Amino acid sequence: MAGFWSLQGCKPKGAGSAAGGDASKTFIAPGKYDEFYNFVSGGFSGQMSVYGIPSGRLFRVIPVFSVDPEKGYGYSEETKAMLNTSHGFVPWDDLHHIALTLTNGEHDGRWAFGNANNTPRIARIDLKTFKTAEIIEIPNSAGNHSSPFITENSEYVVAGTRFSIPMGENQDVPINTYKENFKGTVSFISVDKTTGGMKIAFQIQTPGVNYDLARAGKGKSHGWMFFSCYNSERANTLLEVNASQKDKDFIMCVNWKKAEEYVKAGKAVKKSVKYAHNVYDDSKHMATSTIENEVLMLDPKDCPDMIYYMPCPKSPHGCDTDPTGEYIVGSGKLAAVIPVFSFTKIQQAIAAKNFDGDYEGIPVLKYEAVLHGEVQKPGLGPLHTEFDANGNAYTSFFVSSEIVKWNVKDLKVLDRVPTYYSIGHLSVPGGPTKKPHGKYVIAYNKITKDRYLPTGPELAQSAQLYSIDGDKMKLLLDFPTIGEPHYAESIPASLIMKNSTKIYKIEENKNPYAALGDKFARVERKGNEIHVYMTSIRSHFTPDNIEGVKLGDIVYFHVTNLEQDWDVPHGFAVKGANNAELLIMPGETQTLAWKPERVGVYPMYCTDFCSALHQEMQGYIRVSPAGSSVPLTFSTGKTEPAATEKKATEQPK
Amino acid sequence: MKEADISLTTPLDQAKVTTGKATYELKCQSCHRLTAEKLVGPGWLDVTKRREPLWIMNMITNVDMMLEKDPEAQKTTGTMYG
Repeated sequence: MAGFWSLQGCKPKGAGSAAGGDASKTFIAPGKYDEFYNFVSGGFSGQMSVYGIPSGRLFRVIPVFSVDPEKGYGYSEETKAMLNTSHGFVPWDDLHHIALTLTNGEHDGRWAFGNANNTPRIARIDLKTFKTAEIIEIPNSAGNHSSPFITENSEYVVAGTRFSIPMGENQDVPINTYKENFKGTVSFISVDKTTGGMKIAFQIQTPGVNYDLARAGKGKSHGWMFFSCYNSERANTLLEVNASQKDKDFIMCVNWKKAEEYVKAGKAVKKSVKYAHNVYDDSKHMATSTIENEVLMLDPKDCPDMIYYMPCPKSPHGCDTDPTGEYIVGSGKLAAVIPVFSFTKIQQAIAAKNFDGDYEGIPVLKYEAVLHGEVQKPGLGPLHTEFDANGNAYTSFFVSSEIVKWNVKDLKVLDRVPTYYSIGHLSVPGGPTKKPHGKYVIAYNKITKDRYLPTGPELAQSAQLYSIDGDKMKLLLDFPTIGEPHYAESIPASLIMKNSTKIYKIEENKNPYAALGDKFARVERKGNEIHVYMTSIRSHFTPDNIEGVKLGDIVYFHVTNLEQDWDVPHGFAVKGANNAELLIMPGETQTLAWKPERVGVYPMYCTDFCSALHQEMQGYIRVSPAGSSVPLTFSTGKTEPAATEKKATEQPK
Repeated sequence: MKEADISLTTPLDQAKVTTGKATYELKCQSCHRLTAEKLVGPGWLDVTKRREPLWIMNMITNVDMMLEKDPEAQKTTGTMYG
């Protein structure tokens, strides 16, 4: 097989016959569960998606960096603050990579992190609730791509700049002064062991290159972080050509334990910056956004032995550490070999000062001195590598559209399978940890031509699942994903499902606008604000008839879902609202703001099919002209007999 | 819940009445009025005259067991649990 595919050139022909699909291995009988959760970046959707493996079934799209009208995320008053930044409210971003928390280098199933590429941020998702719990903006950054990658005990997630930028007081500089004025940074964000709370512990200022991906050391290399970078040419235009001049770019090796010592010793400089830190409170069901003003910056000039550059061929993308922590695999996007570096040799080279000069004052390690070896003729365009528990590596090849399996120690190619097409990242369950779970490798592809029924100019995004149990990788399943899948991680379902939140306890609801029982349901006027404290339960709202709203008022519907039963959210929508719906989980309170623009009677209803009488779960709110004398009234289950009599006096003249 | 778990006093323990009322308002009232009015569930007017305390407590706190085992409870399904 190996020889056969390599003869086919870049794009495997006759892909249909090549796909020895074994879909029966991916069938999950009703009542059974998938073996793994698969957390997949949603790319330019800004969200994170959750699939079952091996079935490839989509379970949930978690709103993270983009508004989601379906869930009211970014639309409800409680969630708007999650998307606040130093640039104000940002409704969209581009989420590329996933990092699941680790304890002793193994998955612990507590939190998932995702990066916002465009307006640099890191988000933490709570794997009990599958909700975004926290978002922190990264100052001194642009194109937050080499993020988030996590250390062995979740001490830090890191965030590196793809774009270097001018920093400091004068940022109004000519673009062609790049070499002089533009700098990169990498940020180390600490993660609180108990709460998961994030804090930017320190940043390191570096030469103005483009950081692409990263991986933490593990085991013997714990305490180090590796960042791949391109554009060591420091070009500021036509990077396609100008950043591909040098034969080798770098992997930056950061001794972060050393960096911690320098911070403790007071070597870091306080930089004045502005960034948002947004936290969602699960008892208040509400986010708060705080603007922070300071960050600690380390300059390598003041901190010897903290960072080194390691030459790596041709604009590297992946820089992946194997489960033992000894080997670091570089993947040059235009390279014809895969270099594998040895952590032991890196330490020896540093001790012996076996340098190949320096780059902007940073020592450059001698390539031959730190190299374990090169995988010869692996394929074209290596991008990213993950590992199984048996000493094997799986590397994705964008240009030749394939996954290649090879042995980390002897560097021999063992097997190769085609992907359809132009694979980016791949993912082995537990592949980036000290103890890979193995069994499968999943390909996340960039091009889908001819795989699915056509849907106009844009085709479905795609993933492919392969079995890696035997000597030969076998295609099992081809499944579409939301756009665009970059990196993903898979984790055994047993680590997550037992902790999954079923309801929010109504007794613990601390939302200041909650109506904890019908007794507290009410409507209040505060100037031109109308606050509706509403409850919902199968199958009515209280109150469901409201009068006395006037044009010019803003109506806040604070809807509390009194249900205490799993999987019974209620929705809430009102006609004409320039807003989304609310989707309120059992025990939760959410608020929809509505500014009516016309006089009339507006229907409102539950949008999430909740019961046999869901269709009956509806109500009305009456909007009268400004200056009307209609009194503010509200009720459920009552029709005032005097309503027709009142009419004559209520009508505005 | 067993008979022995329930102790009724005369007069009623006011502390229990207070917490019970708060629980009722938070978790029951949306569907069960204290009048005879039927919403999703029946009104509770005079329920203490129709049913024994043990039956009421189990119907509230252990409804699945009741619907499985108790003939009186089974009769209520389809008739607003009354």
